Amino acid sequence: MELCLGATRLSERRTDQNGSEAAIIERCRRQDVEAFGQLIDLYQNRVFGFVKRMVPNAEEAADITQEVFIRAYQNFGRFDARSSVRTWLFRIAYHLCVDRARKVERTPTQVGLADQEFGEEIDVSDVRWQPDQLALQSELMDVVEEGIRSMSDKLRSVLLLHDREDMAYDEVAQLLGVPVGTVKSRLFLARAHLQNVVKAYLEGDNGQ
Amino acid sequence: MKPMGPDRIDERLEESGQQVVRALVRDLPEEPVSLAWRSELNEKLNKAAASRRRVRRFWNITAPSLALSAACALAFMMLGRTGSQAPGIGQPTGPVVSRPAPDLASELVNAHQEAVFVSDVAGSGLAPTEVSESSAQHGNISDSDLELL
Repeated sequence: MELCLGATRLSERRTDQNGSEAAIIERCRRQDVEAFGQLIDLYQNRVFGFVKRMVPNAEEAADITQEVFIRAYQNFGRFDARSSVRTWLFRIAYHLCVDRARKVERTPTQVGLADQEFGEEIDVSDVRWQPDQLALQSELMDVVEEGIRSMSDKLRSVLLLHDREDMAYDEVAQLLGVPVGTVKSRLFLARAHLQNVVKAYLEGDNGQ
Repeated sequence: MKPMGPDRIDERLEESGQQVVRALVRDLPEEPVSLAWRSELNEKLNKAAASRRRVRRFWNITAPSLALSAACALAFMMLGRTGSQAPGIGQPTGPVVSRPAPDLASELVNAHQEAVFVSDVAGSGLAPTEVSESSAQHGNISDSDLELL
């Protein structure tokens, strides 16, 4: 009974959130700066996190994130609500990151199928919540971040959008303009690469 | 390596190793933005909003003026075209010669000359009508009447 009541309340809260976001979007269409500020509050950290992982320089990432919101504000009239605001914002962010990468002509280490070893399992989740392992946990996170940075833009964007931002396959496919199958194969490769990076770290750590 | 089919890749994505990596990525720490960053963004947004307002105001003023000018130009063009069209049946084809309006002074002179001429003929005591009337009455007097006189 309590569970049902909790589920109902959760559902109501989600409806309220969607309703309030819809109201904010409607005000943003009328170029209401205050409403747009509320929208920034909702998404600034997520967009910044995505951009910071796509761009190596933190200062540049901050500038790009600002540019994302300024462009969104200037072009809000063109937002057709076919996708969610979140998808739309991440699309702008992704394209700005790609443009920036083209300008810099950065060539990340490409992760291909040939240099991957698949299927070997790692076990890292069991140590994550132990207090004495916090330092290790932090180090592991750094390794994961480094592993993400060493991927190509294509793999990294899919991994971050699906696994970090919890977007559905078709949402990611729509955002990146690629088929769903491509999204899945890129995601598999990205995870496999990260799996190898973490495995190498754990094996090296155990060896010491 | 052989390419994987759609079902096979779905299976591989659900493998525990892949799911562990997914959990690791999901649990990465959030990247909070600084207050300075936010205030800088607010400034930029306010500038963008002001710029948009300026552009909108400019168009609000300019657009009606441009529309009015276009309408005037169109009207002039239409009038010019109507004026240069070929004449219809019954309309004069040649150039219209304007006749000068009768001069008031010459009219007065003419009237005066006629009056002088009449007075010369009829005498000063009778008007031309009187002359004709008296002559007509004179024509009706018989000879017996003359004898009585």
